[in-house]
Amino acid sequence: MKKKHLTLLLAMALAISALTGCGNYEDSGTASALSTENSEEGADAIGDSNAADGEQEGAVSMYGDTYPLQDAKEKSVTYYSKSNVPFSGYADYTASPFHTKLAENVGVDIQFEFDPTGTSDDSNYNLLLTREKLPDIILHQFTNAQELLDDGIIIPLNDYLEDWAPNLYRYLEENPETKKAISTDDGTIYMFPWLREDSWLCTFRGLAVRKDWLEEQGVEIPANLDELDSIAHVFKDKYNARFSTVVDWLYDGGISTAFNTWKEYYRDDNQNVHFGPAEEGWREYMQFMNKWYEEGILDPDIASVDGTVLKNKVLNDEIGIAYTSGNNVNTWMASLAEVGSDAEWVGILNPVKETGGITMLSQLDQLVTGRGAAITASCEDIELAMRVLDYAYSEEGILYYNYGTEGETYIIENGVPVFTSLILDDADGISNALDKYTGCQWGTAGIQEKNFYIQKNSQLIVDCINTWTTNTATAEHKFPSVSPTSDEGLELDSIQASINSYVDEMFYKFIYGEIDIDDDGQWEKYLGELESIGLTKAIVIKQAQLDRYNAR
Amino acid sequence: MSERKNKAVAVGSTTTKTFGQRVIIDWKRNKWKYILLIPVVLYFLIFCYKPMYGIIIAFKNYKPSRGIIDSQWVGFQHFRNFFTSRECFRVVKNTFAISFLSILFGFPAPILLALLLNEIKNQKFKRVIQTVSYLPHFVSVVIICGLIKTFCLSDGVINVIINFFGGQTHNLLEDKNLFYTIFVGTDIWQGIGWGSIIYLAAIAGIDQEQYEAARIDGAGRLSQILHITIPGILPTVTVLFIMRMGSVLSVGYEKVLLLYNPVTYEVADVISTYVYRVGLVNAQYSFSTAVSLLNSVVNIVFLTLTNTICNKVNGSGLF
Repeated sequence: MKKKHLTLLLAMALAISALTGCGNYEDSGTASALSTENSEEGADAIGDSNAADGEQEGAVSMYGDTYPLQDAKEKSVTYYSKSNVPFSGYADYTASPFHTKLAENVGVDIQFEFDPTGTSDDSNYNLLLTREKLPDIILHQFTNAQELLDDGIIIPLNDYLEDWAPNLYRYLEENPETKKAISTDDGTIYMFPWLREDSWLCTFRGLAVRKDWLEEQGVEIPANLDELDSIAHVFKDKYNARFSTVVDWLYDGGISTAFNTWKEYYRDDNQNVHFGPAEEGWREYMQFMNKWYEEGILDPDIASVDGTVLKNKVLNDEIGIAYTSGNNVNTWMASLAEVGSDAEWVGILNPVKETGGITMLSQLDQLVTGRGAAITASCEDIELAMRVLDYAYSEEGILYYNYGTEGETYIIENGVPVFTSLILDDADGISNALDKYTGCQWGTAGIQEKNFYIQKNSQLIVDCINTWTTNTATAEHKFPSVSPTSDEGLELDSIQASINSYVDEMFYKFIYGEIDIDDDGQWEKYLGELESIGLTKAIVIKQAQLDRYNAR
Repeated sequence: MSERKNKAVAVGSTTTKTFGQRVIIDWKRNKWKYILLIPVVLYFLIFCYKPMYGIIIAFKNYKPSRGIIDSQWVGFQHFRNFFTSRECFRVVKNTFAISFLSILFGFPAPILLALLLNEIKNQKFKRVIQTVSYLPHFVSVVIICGLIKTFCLSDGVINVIINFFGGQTHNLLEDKNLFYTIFVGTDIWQGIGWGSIIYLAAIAGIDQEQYEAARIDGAGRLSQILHITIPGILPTVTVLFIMRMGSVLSVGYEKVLLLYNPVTYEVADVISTYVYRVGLVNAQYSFSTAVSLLNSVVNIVFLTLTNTICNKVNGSGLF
């Protein structure tokens, strides 16, 4: 009898433990289910003013232009967001100071919805799109905005911007380039974008060298490519140190800046599209890399280096020149200091052929990335949703999103916001502290200020970025974020994937000397192969996209 | 007529019952076993058979926002794209190469280990070896690949040893000729212990008297293995072999993705990593499904082929 009971108990325990897996998925689900009815009158009033479309001069505003909004306390807005995910230590957004204070500041109940923890792709977002009733606001990377507009999932905002999003409207009028970048080809504005105040904020990678070794050898910081070459030899001879970088970064920056080339498309001063790897500059770049490979300066492991491997090599004094990020330099210096090393890393100018020259193409993220918050067709109170989003672009909103609350998380010193110890000394680190109280670290529907970045990071990183942005003109030459049509998308994607693989493979074959880069016949063969994969067709498509973009 | 039926039922003979009657008897006798079976059947119906309907997106241009039914129909476009792509021949060749090498070297390895383990007299030693050999199975493939990458660096452990013996050092993962060796070798290392368990179980099931008889007849250990053990586990080996052949085109992408780099694309790029790269560009669900469908069809062909061959040769097969 006893054994039978024991077995039964064990079986039940196993069964129940299997059920514990059904846990916290409820949270994200109920948020949207709870999206309350907005008051009928509100919807009607907006409906009426919509009827008189065209000029919105006389549109009745339900909530006023200032924050907190009037008459909005009882209302609520549902907001699915890929960014501003609450700090992982909080159970949900209701415990997060940033989100709760945001709702207070705006004056309305905001019901956030996020991807379940650990989601690293769009699986949840894609499921979200299949719902009957979508959240009022969706914040995401909109690479296929035209499709979403055509399918009626998100709505165009042009008619409402001036009246219901005066802050964003003003910003766009003052920055026509940004306005162009966030519209579709026919001028439809569909989102409140993620913006950075200055392209300074979009650079985060560049060359760095061992300054202490330079001082030991009595050599100056290199000002052009030849000088860089000679100190590379010095490092190799005296310290047996090499040049290295993370394999993915070998394509758009570092040494390639001297040859005005990179792996992607770019535009010249006449707005013509070129594909980097098919141009002479790329050949020269590969010749230079091949030279370094044969001289033993290029890290022979280059094809498989990742962040950790690079860091280990740096800590073992195996690297003298690295193409890396500001954050990495910071981390390396901290680790080196920990082990008591005298090593000093410093950022240097993008290499150019002649001292004082400017490079056309260095690492630069898009100023407008296509990330932003759109309003869905399920939204019944459009004005309310727009007001909520517009807050981030207002004066007080910019301060709140970037720095938090005055007196608590920042104080004004000499007219400039400075973080308090609440942020700087947070036990979980500055990044997490910023997630708890602010919202502009990356990817939100708002504007990140340059000062925010300077406050947040160490002087070393700021110095690096200052150096790396000195001699570049990439902004005018980078291929902008265009809107592909769905036909273009289908055609281009498969060609592009093949082109990319081929370029990758040939890159290594050339720089390792497997195929002679100096042999013109081989170079012609390489170009010919690119042609047969479909490069011309790809460039034609890209040119069409660029022309449409410029015509906006 | 009914008299005869009743009599037959009462007696329990099986000669004159109709199909319906036999079902009822079977049900009455084995009711609880069938009820126990219901959840399993439901599981397969709901999670394996019903989603098969989704295969249709291989013939459409699936967009999640439009749903399966409303997505545009494109017929064999995706298959055509795959077969005319530059990489098609290469990735298929690589997939077959890796797969066959894995089977050629990786399939016999656990059998060999099981046979060897069986010979060990010292039980404690045997158990230690067993545990040690199947520990790697539990380590995630990502960690294994991290280790491999570190060991293969030009100044990593393996190269240090090569250097010691006077050889040339170079990053092993950038060597096209070594990729298959590293890949299959580490696969064997990771899976040999776990795989040997089932063979050990099969060996344990062989009648001990056969061994005694053989020993009396003067057979040595090797002869015993060749003539008793191996034929004894042959049915198990056959079944597992057929199942193995059924996944010949499914080289998982994780390990290849972690170990390959542009220098070794020529030999390392397999169908799954190719689809992964293309799919990454634009969330191409339809394309990936089309290629997976192709994969599954080829696998089924191999499976049935192998099964038929095994049936003819061995008299035993999976079905």
